[in-house]
Amino acid sequence: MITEEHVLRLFDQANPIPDVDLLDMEQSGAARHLATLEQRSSEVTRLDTRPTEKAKPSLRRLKLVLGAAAVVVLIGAVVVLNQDDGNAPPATQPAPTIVTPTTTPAQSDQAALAVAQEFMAARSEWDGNTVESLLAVDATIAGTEFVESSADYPALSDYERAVGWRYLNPDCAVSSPGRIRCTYTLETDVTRALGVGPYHGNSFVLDIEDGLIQTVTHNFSPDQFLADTAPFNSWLAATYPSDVELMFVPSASGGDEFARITPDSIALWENHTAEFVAEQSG
Amino acid sequence: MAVADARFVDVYERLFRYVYAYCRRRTSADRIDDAVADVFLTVWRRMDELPPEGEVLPWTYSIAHGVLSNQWRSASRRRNLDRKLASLGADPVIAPEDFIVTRYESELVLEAASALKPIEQEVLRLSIWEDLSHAEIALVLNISGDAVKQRLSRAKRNLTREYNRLEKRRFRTPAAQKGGAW
Repeated sequence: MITEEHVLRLFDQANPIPDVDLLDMEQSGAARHLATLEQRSSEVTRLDTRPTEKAKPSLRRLKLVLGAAAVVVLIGAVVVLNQDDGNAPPATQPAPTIVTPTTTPAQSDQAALAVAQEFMAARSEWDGNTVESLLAVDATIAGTEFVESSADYPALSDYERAVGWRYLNPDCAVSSPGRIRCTYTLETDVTRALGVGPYHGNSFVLDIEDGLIQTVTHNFSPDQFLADTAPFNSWLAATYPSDVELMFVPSASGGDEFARITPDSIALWENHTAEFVAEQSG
Repeated sequence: MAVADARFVDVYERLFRYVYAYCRRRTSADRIDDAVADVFLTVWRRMDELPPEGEVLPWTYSIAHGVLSNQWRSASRRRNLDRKLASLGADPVIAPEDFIVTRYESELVLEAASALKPIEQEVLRLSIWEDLSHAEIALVLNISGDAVKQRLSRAKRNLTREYNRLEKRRFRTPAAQKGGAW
């Protein structure tokens, strides 16, 4: 058994650029990079209608574009100010009463419900970036070992897209103030190909505060799903035995192994799922 | 030279090596120039958000992190396209390997790292390869210092577990059937 200290030392030694100061930054390399940067800059300014002979070095052109954008904003602001001037109250008019906006509990729950519905829509569309943006950075995620933080959702969504993991018929309702329960029915490409499922009665319980999901609790009982999809696992072990270890990760809690959601593993999931599904339909 | 230009040039000259190394450690050689260019183009656009001196490097790394994440997603889409083209009988576009690791242990530890979650890989690299503090990593990844500490601890533990698993694999027959997908 290799110790953690030894493994970390090996990882340190595997650094492709061990010392930045020793990096070979030849002038030609830097020049090549600057040329790339200039090319990118010119792409950004391609819509500039000024004569080309007035073109400046790329960074200058970028600045001009930014300046032009600022002028547009300024003009817009002036127009708005002028409109406001036309409607401005006379100086003698009493100052308007300042009304502090209040949010009723019902409004708050409706806002939370909207966040939950957006969460389910993003899960259904495998849009992990949107899912991540709906969660607090330090959100608590329970009921799954797949994800440990909001930052894991983009990779999880990529995996779910790869295997056709679908959240069907999502239905969200307020279960208590700030808490939304969303039920759904599960189906995947493999279950559909095998003619099993779909699996009802699953849910997410979401605690939402200040427009962000603070806690995600996934209630999903995988027993029937695992039993039904055993033919896929058998096929996988027989057809791609060397890939199996790359596609699964041991459970830290000693339970069933679950899918590894690294880019390479997800690519294997996508390929092998598609092949299995094709064989079933063929 | 305008003040904004001077500030950008200063950032560029001081950080170019670091950004180049950051990208070099994470992407293939044929994509480095594009990645570095995208990073500095974004830095230029966001010069008005330039943080205090001590946070400029982590801030720039966070931009690089976003650029490479997008690059990976593009590559993923390209792989999908390649597969579709291959199924139609066309030649797939083969991305060149960026470097060859000759030492077995280095190869093994990098393979072990590739099996970790992307966020764990990134925390490890930022800590060990970029030598950033927990607070700096928190700035790059926009997470709390406590979260960095927990993730780093977990990443180290998982890296060790994966390394030992791969090490054992050398002496084993192909894997037996595993459990379920869940």
